[in-house]
This record gives sequence, C-alpha cells and structure tokens, in this order.
Amino acid sequence: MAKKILIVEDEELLLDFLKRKLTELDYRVSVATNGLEALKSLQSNVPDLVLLDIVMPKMGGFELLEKMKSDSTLKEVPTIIISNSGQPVEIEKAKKLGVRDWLIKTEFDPQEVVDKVVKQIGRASE
Amino acid sequence: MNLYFAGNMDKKMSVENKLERLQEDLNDVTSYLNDFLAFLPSPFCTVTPSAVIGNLNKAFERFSGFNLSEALGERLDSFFEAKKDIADLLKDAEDRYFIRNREAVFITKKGERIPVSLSCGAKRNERGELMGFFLTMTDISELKKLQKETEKKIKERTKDLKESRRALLNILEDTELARRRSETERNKAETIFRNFVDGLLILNQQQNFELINPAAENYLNVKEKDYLGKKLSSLKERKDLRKFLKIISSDKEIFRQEFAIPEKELTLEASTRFVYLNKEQLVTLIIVHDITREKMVERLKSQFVSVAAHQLRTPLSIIKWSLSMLLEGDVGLLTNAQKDMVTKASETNERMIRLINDLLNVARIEEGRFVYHPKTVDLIELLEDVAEPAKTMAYSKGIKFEFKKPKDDKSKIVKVDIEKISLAVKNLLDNAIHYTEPKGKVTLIAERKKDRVFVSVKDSGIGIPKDQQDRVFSKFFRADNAVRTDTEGTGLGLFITKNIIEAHKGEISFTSQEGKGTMFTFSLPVIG
Repeated sequence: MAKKILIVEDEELLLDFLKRKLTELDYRVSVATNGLEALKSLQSNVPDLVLLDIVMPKMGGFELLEKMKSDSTLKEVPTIIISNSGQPVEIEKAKKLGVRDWLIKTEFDPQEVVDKVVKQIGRASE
Repeated sequence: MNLYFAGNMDKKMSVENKLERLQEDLNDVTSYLNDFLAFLPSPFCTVTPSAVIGNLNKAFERFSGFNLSEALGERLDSFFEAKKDIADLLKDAEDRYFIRNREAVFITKKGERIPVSLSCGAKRNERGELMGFFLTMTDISELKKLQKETEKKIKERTKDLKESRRALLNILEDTELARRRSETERNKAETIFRNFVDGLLILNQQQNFELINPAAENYLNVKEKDYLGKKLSSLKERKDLRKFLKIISSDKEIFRQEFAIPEKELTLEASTRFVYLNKEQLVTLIIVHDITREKMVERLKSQFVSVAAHQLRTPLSIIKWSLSMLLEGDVGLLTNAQKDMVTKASETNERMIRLINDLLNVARIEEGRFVYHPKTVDLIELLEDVAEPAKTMAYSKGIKFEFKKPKDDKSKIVKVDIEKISLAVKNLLDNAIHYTEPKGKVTLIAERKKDRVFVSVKDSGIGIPKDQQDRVFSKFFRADNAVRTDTEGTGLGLFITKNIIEAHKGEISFTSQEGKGTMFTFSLPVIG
C-alpha cells in the first residue's frame, strides 16, 4: 500500500500544489484546512506522515501537535511543519513538540518538499 | 566795712555821736553799694515806681551808650523796643516780687537793637509800699545769634531729614515694587512648574527635594509633602521607582532614559539638567516625560508591519511554488521565451520575498522582538556555511570569490546567534557581489587579533561616494551610484547587519573609494 500523507494547510492554492506534487509521486494524499478537521481525519485514518501549517483558523498547528503528542497512536506519526516566518522561536517550539523537520514557506521549492518527505518516510511505494 | 549799727552800740554815746556814727555807716554802705554797682559787670539800674530810671551802673552806661546824666529821669520803656513788654514786666515784678529772664530788645544810644534778657525785682519798704524796681540785663545777642543759627541748622537738618525720609520711602517703595515683581515672577515660575505637563522635580545642592510638581506626583505616584526636604535616596523605599532612582542617581546629566511604571501602565523617560551658578552646581532639575503613547504608536506600527509582512508571505510562497512548477515542466513544457519570462518573474518574486523578510527583521529590531539565541560556535565554520552560496552566486556572475581563512590555529570560538550572524555576513556578501562588475573580486577574510576575531568582506566594486558614507547604515538608504547600478534594492541590509553586530557587542566599520571598491569589517569577542 502506498504511503499516506495528511496535508494540513488553510491556504487553498498551496494545499493544491502540495497535493499535486505528492500525488504525482504516488503518495496517497488526504487534506484538511484546519487543525480541527485534521484531528477528525487523524482519528479515523492514521497517516504515515503529516505536513502541517502553523497559522490556521479554528485550531492551529501547535495545538494540533500537542493533541497528537498526548495521543498514544498519534504521537508516533512523523510530522513536518510548514512555517510562514521561519523564526527560530517557532522552529524551536515545534521541535519541542516532536516535529521531525520543517519547511519555510517563502523559501522552499517543490524539490525540497519531496526531499524532506522522502527523508522521513521514504518513497511512496517502499 | 565796719558798720556800727550792726553791732551793739555803746549806750554811753551821746545822741550826736550816735547820729555821726550812723551817718558814717550810711556813707559806708552807700559807698560800698556804689563800688559794688560799679564793679558789677551786668548792666544794672534802679527804676522808680513810676517807671523812670533812678540809678544805673557803669556796665549799663557802657552797654547802653548813655551816661548817668543822660539816662537819669528817663522812662525805662524808652530804652526798649516794645514798651508794652516793659510795662508788663514791671507789673509782674510788682505782683510777684521777682521776674527772671524776660526777653526784650534794648535800643542803644547808637540805635543798635540788642536782644537782652531782663531780670527784675520789686523793692518794698517795711510797710509793703513799692519803693521801686531793680533791673539787670544780659546781652543775649550772642545767645540769640546762636539760637538763630541753631534754629537754622535745625531747619536745615529737618529739611535734610525730610529729604532722607523721602529718599528712604522711595527706596522702600522701589524695594516693595521689586519684591512684588519678584513674587510675581516667582508665582509665574511656580505656576508654570505646577501646571507643567511633564513631571518636574528639583533637588537642591544637598540632594534634598525642593519641589515635586503635580505631574510628577501623578506619574511617579508620590506626594510632594512626603518627600519635600528629604534626600533623593529616600526614594529607595519605593520598589516601583527603583529604575527611576537608578537612572537619576548618575553624576552626569542624563538624557531621555526610559523606565516603566507598570502599576500605572506608563512608559516614561527621565532627563536631568544641572543648574550652575559661578561654577557651583546649585540645583538638579529632573524632568519626567510621558512616552506611553509614543511607545504604543511605535508598537502598533511595528505590529502592523509584522502582520502585513506575514500576510504577504503566503501569496509570495504560492507564486514561488507556481513559478517553480512551471520551470520544472510540471504543468507542461515551456518554450525558451516562456522559460525566460518565468525565470525573470521568479527572480522578481525572490526580491519581493527578500524585501518582506528585511522589513520584518527591521520591524522586529525596532520592536525589540529581534531575539537572540547565542550559541557557542566556531566562527570559521559559520563563515564557511555562509560563504558556500555566496561563492556560487559570485561565480554565476563571473566574479572571483575567495575565503581567506586565518593561518594560525588559535581558537575562533564565539558565542553568537548563528542565524543572525549568518544573516549579517550574508548581507555583506550579497552587497559585495551585487555591486561588483563581472571579472571583479570578492574576498571574505577572517583573522584573530588579540582577543577578537575580525571578519572583513572586501570587493572591487563601485564603492561608496564620500559624501554619502555617513548614511550608509541608515534605514532605507541607498547611495546614488548603487541606485544607478541596480534600481531595486531595499536599503535595509546594512541597517540590519549593523544592528546584529552591535547586539553581539561587536563593532562594524568600512573603508571605501568610489570606483575602486569597499571593505566592511566587524569584530566579535572570542570565548576561550
């Protein structure tokens, strides 16, 4: 079975890009536009990796990470955050909450995303 | 004079003898009296009851100029100016027996009028019948003259005194006027002090409070009456004013140092001025100015920039992604012309992203949110990381790049915020490459001198014009020749770099010659 990735991002266009790219590489991609939606999705379907934005309505990235951390199943799921600012403070905080890697919105390109995803969970069909 | 009748006379003497003896006595007494009168220096005369001169002495003759025969029988009052005075005198003497020192004016034979003092006595016989008067005179012309002079002097003195008094009154008036004026001034000054918007406190030479105006009372939450006359140090008891006390306890004049009163949600700034007179410091004036509003505006401005920059990043990252995908052919192959256009758009987008990042950094610096996380690191390793992409960029522009590392093996360990220092160096390298023509050279140099590491970025670029060198580190400043070389450019890079270096307690400087090149140098303290 192809690996599953959950992308949590409130910016539609960006969400679209990420989904397209990763689907091209044969990953099974599900989406959520805020933390609350993501939580619901996670409870019914545990992915192999979560790509999540920090600033989102209803429930932001950090809150979601905390909820995942306190769940026995979810805390094992690797996460990569997508930061808008790239501020060290933000990165540090995310690291403390267990994220494996991070992407900075204005700096990353499609290739970097792929590289980091593969680094965490390998290729889609491995 | 041996008077017979004075003693017991011999009873045996005959009447004739007695008569003879008595006659002799009488002659003796008469003679004696005449001698006496002649001798008497005061003018003397006797006056009959009918006020006619009976007898007079030599002194009278001398004084009056009249001799005995001329004066005898003349009326007394004919010798005097005011006849009534004489009449009164004689009448009074008759009534009272003796009158002393009555003033009158005597007219001499020559016609001189001489002021005299008269003493007059009435002579009565055993039966009480008026026999006549005795009169003596004293020339009081000298006395009168003296009197007149004294009077004159007194008049003059009085006049002088009056004038002095007037002068004194004038002086008093002027003094009063001056006093009132100074009071008005003082009141004016006090009114200004009391109503001044800024807090004002005055310390005297002994560092005791002389004044705390209402604004100061309000800002600092103190009451003037509690601290008047007390030393500045008595504020120690107020924990909330610790910082304020620390600031104003300096022996130098301080200018606009910030401190906060959280309980009142105020941000204030304090300044001190020393007031001198003749080189001696008299008072210290402390001014407390409310900058709460300014601070708030500053904060809001920074927040606004932060939020705006934040909001702008998302669309920019989308554009970046889109263009990336286009270039990679993910949405179909592009013609060369299309690739060209997309590449240009991509570069422009990158510039936007850089600008937004710079703006955000500047906003954070100004807000004080540009937080530093120092870590111990080998500066040379840090520089190698930064140099890598710079090298690539230089080469792609046809510029030579070299990293001159230090030849010694002394420690170059520093404690710095890696991200920030990297950014600082990156800005310098970017500038160097940006403003150097192809075939030029950019050199990154690092060397240890004493207990500091010196890092220099040298280029053979367009240089900075001399008259604009003092503004190079200012926000948004771009030299004219820089603008001509590249119309884009934020003018924020060096501002940010300087801030970062100085926040690390380093120093940054540069040398530059227009058309030749520039070299920026900064230094950081070495740890261990």
